Amino acid sequence: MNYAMALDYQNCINCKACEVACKEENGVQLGADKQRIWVGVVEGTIFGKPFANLYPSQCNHCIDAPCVSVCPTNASHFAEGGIVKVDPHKCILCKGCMEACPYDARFVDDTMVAVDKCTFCDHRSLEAGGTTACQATCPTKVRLFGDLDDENSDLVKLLKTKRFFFQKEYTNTLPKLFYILPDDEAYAKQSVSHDTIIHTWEDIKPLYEEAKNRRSKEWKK
Amino acid sequence: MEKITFAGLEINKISIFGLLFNKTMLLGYFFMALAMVGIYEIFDVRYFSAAANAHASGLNPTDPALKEAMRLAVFGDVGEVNRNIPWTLFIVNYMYMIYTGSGVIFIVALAELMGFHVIAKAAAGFMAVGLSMVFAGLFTIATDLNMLNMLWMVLTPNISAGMWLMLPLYCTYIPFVLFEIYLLLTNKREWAKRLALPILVLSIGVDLVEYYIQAKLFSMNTARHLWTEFPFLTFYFIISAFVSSLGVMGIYSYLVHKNKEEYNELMDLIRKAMLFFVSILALYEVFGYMTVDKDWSFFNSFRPI
Repeated sequence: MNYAMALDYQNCINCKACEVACKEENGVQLGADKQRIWVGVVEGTIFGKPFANLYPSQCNHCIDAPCVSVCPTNASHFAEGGIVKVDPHKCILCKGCMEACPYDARFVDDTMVAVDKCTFCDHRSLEAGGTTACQATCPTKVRLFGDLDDENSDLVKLLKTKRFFFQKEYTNTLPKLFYILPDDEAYAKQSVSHDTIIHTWEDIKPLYEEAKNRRSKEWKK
Repeated sequence: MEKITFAGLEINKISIFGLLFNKTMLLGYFFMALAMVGIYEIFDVRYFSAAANAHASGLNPTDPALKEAMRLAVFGDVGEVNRNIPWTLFIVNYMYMIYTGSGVIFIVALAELMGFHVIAKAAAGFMAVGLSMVFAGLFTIATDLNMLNMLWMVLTPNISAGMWLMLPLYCTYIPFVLFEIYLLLTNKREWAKRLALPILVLSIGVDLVEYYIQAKLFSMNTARHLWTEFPFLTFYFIISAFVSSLGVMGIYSYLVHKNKEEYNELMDLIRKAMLFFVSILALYEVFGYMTVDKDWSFFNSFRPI
């Protein structure tokens, strides 16, 4: 098992139903800064024509997660399927993981006095037919959670037919949020930067398989 | 003044009252009182501030504590940090105290090894100042961390994490420096003379390891690349620590050695060393910024004012 998520961000309408669903499902602390998932907004103009890109995001559950490497008590750890989790009872609040995360995906939950983050809703998504609360509630089917090891999963089937990219790939953490390149060429051009690397499943699969084989010994069952 | 001799050390004999109530200790009590206020404030925010989760708002919607938590969540700041600024002034103070304190110890050890006679006269005092600053840094970080879960540092350690390596490091470093101070104060004894050189060389080794571990810890910090992605971060930390250490040594010399014959020679040495290391640091900063982020250095050099 190697869990990941694809984000067809061209469909996002910024309704924030995913953010609300995440808070309700996981009992996340109240407050705009206290979010496990969020929708990033980038606004700009091209030759006077305004645009807004929406990038739904969350923890990338990186295979080479720096937050796990820096944690002195192993509170940050890899759970089943490479899901990066935090054990709040072991967290000493050093906040090293928050500094190490390239995606700012972590925050301090003041009700637990510990760092909190996305868990891919592993209490419900790993059951047969289960999925994450954000995917279940998205009205435009932006998110797709699945197993990269399963060639017949909807996730792998989608990745085989589309091109995609990663956020901040230069940090070399092997993130597992796959951003699907929009079908519309104009939209694709305005939503990726000139140095973004576009991938296909065939070119990225060996890299992720090798990384999984290397790190999966640390993944708890 | 009457002296007590204990394990080769000559200690001034004074009453308990005289020890606890004097000008120096009163200044100490003032700072300790300030620290207590700070600790009270941070613990109040961390453990007793109004915070609630999404489930609480469904389970007991009329709870007054929930009302306050929701008000803070919408209009105020909840908790001590936010996701944009996870490290606060505690880390700034920790870094200053630890780096400067261990820098003082490092410089004194180096100067002794290089045979600066004037340093030898003041070495134990300098080292005691350095060690006090290390203790202040450790106290600061202990306040910043959630000590209730600290046991997990021992029960489930991640021994490759820079943060964890701090634990064995200071468990080794502090007794080592204490022993070094003891040797300096008892250097007339034969065995102390024999041990002085190997301990000095070892202490420089320990200092280098300390800065290496600090660099390992902070190099994982991807959020502040201008601060932590300097080339050869270990040496950058050492040089910047030397600069702040020499400042502290200058103030200490002024306060303690002002009326002594070695004062002028000591200050002259500190002044020259400061100029040397500030120059190296300036070059390092320019080189570092240009290497770490060319866009940033270009923007700051050529932006319209």
